Amino acid sequence: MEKKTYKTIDLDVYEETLDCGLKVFVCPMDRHDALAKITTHYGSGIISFKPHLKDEFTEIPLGTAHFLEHKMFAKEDGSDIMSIFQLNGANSNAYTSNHVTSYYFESPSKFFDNLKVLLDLVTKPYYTDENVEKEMGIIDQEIKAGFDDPYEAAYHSTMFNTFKNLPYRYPVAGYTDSIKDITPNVLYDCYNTFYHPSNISLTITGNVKPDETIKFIKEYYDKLDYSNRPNIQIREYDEPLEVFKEEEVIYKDVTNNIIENAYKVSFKNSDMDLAKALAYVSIYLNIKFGGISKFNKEIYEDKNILRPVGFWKDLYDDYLLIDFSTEVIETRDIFERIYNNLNDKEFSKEDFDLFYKNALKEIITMADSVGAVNNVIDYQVRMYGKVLYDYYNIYKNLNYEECVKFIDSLDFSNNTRIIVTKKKD
Amino acid sequence: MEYTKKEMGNYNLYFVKTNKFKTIHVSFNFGKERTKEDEVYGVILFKVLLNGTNDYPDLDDLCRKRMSIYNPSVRMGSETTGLDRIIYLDTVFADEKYTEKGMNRESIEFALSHIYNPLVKDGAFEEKSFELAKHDYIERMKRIKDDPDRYCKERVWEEMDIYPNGEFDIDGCIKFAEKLSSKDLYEYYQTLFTENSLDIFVVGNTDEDKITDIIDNAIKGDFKKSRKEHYINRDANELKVITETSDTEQSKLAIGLRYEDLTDFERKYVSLVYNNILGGGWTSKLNRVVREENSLCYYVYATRRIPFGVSFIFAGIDASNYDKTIDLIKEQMKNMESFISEEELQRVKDVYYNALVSIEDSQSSILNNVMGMVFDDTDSISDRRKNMEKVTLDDVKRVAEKVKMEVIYLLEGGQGNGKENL
Repeated sequence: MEKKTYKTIDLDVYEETLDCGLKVFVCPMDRHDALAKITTHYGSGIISFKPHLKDEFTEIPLGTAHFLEHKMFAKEDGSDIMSIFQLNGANSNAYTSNHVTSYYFESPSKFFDNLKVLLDLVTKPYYTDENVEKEMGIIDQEIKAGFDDPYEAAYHSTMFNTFKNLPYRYPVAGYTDSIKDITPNVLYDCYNTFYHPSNISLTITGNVKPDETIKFIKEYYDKLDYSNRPNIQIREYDEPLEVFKEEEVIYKDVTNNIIENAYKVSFKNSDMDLAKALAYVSIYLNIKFGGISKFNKEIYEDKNILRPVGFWKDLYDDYLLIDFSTEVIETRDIFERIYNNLNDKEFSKEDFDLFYKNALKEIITMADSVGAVNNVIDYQVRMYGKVLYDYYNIYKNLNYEECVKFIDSLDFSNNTRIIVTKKKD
Repeated sequence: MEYTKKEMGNYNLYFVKTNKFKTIHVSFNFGKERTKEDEVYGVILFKVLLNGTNDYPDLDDLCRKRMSIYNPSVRMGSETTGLDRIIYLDTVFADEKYTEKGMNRESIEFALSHIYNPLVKDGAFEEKSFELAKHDYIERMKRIKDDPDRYCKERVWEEMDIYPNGEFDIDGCIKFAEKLSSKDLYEYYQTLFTENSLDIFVVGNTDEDKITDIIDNAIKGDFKKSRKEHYINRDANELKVITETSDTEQSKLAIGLRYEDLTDFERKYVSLVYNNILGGGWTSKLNRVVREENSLCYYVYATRRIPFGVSFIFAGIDASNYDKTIDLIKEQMKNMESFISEEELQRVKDVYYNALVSIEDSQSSILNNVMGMVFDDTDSISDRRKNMEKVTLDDVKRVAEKVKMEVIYLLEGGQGNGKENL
């Protein structure tokens, strides 16, 4: 067990990697609640791989990772995991993203009882024809609700049109007809390959004692046989820089036009530290599109544009996706304005310097919440393979000239444009 | 959680001192009797006030100023609690021990500048800023139906006819907003932050004297004494069944329930147990039967709005399963009158006890708890635990008999495969 310290906010994190490969992060905080989250680095973005102990690559139905998440709650002895958590006074849930599947509980009591339930949840699969069939109706409703939401429909199309080959283009939950092909065997192939502890991290924050907790987890895993570690082989895709489709119009029962505009930016040739590179992009986007930007002011004052242009970014293999969305009465020149603003790469040092203060506020705010600290550790482990204990100093030591040069090297030209508009009569 | 109260003449200051947090949360709460126009006035007013001040008329400059003082969050909104309305201005900022000296004062004064130093010209809010906020509100109301979940909630709320002094429906809100002038809004504003009641809550590791000094120097007004919550209680109307259609795959079902003639103890504790055994969380009767046993939906839950004496049940279903879902919900409500177990009761109590313990873990829950004790007649945490322990199965069954289904609202969607929408 190695003790590390989050600088600036004086939070200690105890790290341990078990013999089975499970990475454990324990961060004690002066709170009543403890939050434990277990994350397997398997999400909807993996649809072709070599199953553990099999020789051939296999293609699995779209939506399998999410379906598997639902079915992890089914147990052979009939026990109902969610009920047990609730009986133990814990809030619990799970989610699947493009990159990971996570399960968690939060509770001020019965920590070890709940932790055992969480570990049982991810170590004891039980899939049958009957319980798989039963889940279809529930997930079908979840899928339909997703497509009904015009914002979600715009997002689905954005992802589909940005990527040509990478499976991130498909909805996390799959489609009504794709999930029909999911069988217990498919689920076991995925489970045996991706739910091995060596592909999993466990982050615990809040009211917790590191020694006892890590001892408990070690003893739990020592009783299980994880000697046969899978050699995970995931199909690689040759993804072009160009987007799959530049423009699409979706017809729905909406009052105005919802637009989404995603930029696909190559990140593979950058030799800059990833955390620093992402910080520069983050600052740049906030200067150009955030509250201090002229762009944001102009958008606010334009009655044709009904919401501020929201933006987010995420990394998908070698590509950074920068996504913008808003709602407009008429589409007019909105895409052109976003393009021009993103590509007008001039910004002042004064604005750049404001962001280290913002970073300090963010990290202090984060340190107040058991959930936020847990999320940050979990995210950084997924993103960087480690916890960034000097995160604030990374920000504090950023350099304006370096940022200008780095942003200048990025190509913001490949983009896809989605319009969700009213159905024609 | 202990708090101290300082009576400041015509307003009150409440401190919860805790060294658990590195941020400080300050909440200014202006209370008034609710009118049906408050909602429209409020939404437009908050936008006008938050998007520019006399010192920083431009949005980008205002934001730059905020960033320069370590980006305190500033939020405004309102809540209708029964017959009253609370208008709040909240700010959360990093304790200056972690940033730089003087930032606590800067942050509080910056937040208050939005309400005490607004952008005003010739006896009205600056026209452009007002017009933009009004336009934004009207457009937002027009597109509520784009979000089927929200629309469904709005509609069932409207049909429940909640307020004795009435409320606008969606079209009514739009019509009222369209007629509103900048001068009207300014008139409404003029008494809002100076003549209503004011209670201020501060949570964090603060020096009470210093914060009191900062706040007292910045506060301006001749405030009234605040009053306790006035709850809404009335008998249920005849059951209304309403169906509207929507171009969606999934149908949204909303059911409005009315609690009739609850005692104080039932209102505070037993109705909570009733709601949660029926539709709160995974182990609820509705989730078990409607979702797990019959696979009819992805979600089904009940939520209680006790200042108004109502609960709502929401579910996303296939239209073809409407009758079956309604039958099952009615069956489970009937079961609440006779077939509930000690285990179900204890489960809800345990969740409640844990929630009480967790209150101290976040500033916002500490704040809500103290506000509940000040504005409502919420009991202290220890009394809440003791009172919840007294709730029996018979109590819950008695409340079940006082619950009446008042509205069934279906936003009916079609059948199909989501993929076709791509």
